[in-house]
Amino acid sequence: MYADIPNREANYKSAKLESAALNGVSELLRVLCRQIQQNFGAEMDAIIRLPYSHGACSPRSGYSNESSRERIDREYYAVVGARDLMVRNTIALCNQQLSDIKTRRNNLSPAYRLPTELLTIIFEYTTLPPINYTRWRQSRFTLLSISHVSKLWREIAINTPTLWSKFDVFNIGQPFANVCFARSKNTLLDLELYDETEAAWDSGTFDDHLRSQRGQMLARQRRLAEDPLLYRDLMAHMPRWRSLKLAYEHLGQLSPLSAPAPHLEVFHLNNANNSDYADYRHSLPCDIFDGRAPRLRDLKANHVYVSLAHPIITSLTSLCLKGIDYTCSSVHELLRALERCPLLERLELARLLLPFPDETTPTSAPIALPNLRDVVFVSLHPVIICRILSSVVLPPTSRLKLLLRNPADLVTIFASNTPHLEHFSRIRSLFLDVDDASRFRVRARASDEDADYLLDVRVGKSWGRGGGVDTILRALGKGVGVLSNVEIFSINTRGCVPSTSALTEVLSAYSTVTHLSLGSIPCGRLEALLATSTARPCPVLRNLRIHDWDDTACALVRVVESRRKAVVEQGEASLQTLELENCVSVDGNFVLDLESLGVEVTVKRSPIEV
Amino acid sequence: MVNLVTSDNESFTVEKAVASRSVLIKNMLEDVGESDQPIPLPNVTASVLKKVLEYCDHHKNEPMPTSEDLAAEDTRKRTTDIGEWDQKFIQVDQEMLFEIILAANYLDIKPLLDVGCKTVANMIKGKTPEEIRKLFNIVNDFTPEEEAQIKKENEWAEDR
Repeated sequence: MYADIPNREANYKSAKLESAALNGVSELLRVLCRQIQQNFGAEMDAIIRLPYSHGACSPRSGYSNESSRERIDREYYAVVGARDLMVRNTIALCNQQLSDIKTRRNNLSPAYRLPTELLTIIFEYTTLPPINYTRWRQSRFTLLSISHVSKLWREIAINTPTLWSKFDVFNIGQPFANVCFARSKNTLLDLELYDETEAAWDSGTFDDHLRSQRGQMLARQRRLAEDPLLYRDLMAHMPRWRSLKLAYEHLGQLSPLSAPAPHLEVFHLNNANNSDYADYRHSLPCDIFDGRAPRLRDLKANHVYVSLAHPIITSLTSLCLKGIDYTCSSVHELLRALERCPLLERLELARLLLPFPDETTPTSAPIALPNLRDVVFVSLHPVIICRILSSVVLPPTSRLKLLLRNPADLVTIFASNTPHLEHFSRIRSLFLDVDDASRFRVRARASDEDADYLLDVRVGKSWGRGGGVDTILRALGKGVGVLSNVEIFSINTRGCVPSTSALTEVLSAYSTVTHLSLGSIPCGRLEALLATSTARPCPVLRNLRIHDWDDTACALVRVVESRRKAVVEQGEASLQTLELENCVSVDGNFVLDLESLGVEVTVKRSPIEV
Repeated sequence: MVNLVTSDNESFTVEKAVASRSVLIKNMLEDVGESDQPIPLPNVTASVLKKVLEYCDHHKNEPMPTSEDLAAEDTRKRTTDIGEWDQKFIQVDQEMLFEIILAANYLDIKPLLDVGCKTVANMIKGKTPEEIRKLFNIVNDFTPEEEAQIKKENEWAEDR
């Protein structure tokens, strides 16, 4: 008997819920009817009234009457129409009600607490590239996704024109480009029609995934580059261009760029079809932008010949010229071009063919470029680098990056008289090592706290024994003329073993070094640090660090002894600390021997640790 | 030292250098001069302020972004990269993440606001609308008519 009670209770609850639901439905229907009556009442009345306007017909009199049948049919269809309209409107109103309920629910989500301004900032960040370029490619339609999430997000996204003003057309294609053109309204546009693999190389984020897709991407780029519709749409918005990064296949594609670009600030051109040096036959047209791009500040020409006298090279803050044959021009003309850009902040000259400067040409006054922060020379002849460096006054904060073909080039640069590198006397730390691409790398900075290297040189190895490490060391020896105050010096050439004479030469040159680090140097080569009556390498050396060493250690004891003797006899500074790291031949006796010579010894990651 | 009082009436006593990472508090301190009076923060709860102060403490020795820095922060040159420490710091639940963003906005701590917004942006990137909804517990509130319209607008993107 009692067992039946829970069931009864359940039934009672269920009935109560049903009743509540029915009440809700009837309430909803009442609201809907009211709204339908308000919104569509007149329309429905008109439809329903239509057949009755002819008056009622008597039961049998119209039986065989054709017009009566038509009237009945009209009446029937009018009611069907009214019913359908009412159903449609009911569904529409229900959907609206449901949508409003969902919006109210969304208002409770934490993401909805953010005001419009903050959501706009977040949406803007979704359009920026992260470190991983592949992920950026995958996320190029994120804006579209955002505008499909909910009513609020859509409203914010499509009513923020700046979100739609930056896009890479080769990635997104013409239909999305048109959406962007429309939604960006009147804001200035940052456009890319670019080989994205090139951009990825530039940003240093080229990964395997992207590499595997290169062929596919280039094919798409070619297809789009030939698309007349795309160009037509682009040109229509030319007055709004703020930046244009364009990869083109043939010069004809540049001919539409003949109208003024009043807001253009950035113009990057890449000849996608030319991997050789571009000569005057691949020349940027003289009348580009009708000679009117008054705000242009950043110009990059990659395998596109831009005459050094071209009016576009004026008042720039960033100039990059790559892969261009200027054999019919001159360094003098290049310098005149720089003179026309007194506010230049960045200069990159890569793989340019230039005639050797004529020594008989009188040198004019050095060009003052007080804002120049970054100077990058890639695979330029060292004589040309020297001529440019000696003709430009670099400000004290400028950073010089060089990529040289072989070690002898560095000798030429340091051996030349480059009086305008005087600011390198600020340099306190100098590092020589080998980079990931097995090139020698020389870096120098003003202090340990400085993240920026004032000098960053990468040099390809030569074929000879040691890959040219001796040449590099001797070049650094000559570099002491400009690097006159180096205190910290680190040499780690890994597999390239320098000769003792080259080491002696460079260590003798740097007389101000107090901290020296030597990596992967065989024990015998340490004799370069022996203090003798004739040789005094690094006379003020106080801290010596030796690492990655698998040789016997006897030479080190001799070095320390000789330097101790020099302290007594010649009054030199004494070696105070010796740090040994990852040195397999170090043992307890060896450490005791060194400590008996008055040196504080630290041993790390070796058979013993002290 | 500066005394800050949260919306739930909890007091935090912090170094001036830490509190001054907030432009709002920095301006208040400059306006009132040397004073022992607590500074009320009616829009920030204790749990959120604790987290915000952890950020400020870590970055207290860094130079404050100047107006020139902010002006130079051209949209075209920015990325969504976040520093290693900041990434670990911002690994919090979603509710706290949005609270931190709101607090950074209210307290005017631009670098923290950037870290928060970049984190949310990175969560959104590359996702479909449905994935975004699921991530942020948002429901699709478009009517079928609106959805049909959106679909029509973007038919070209279906096979992307």
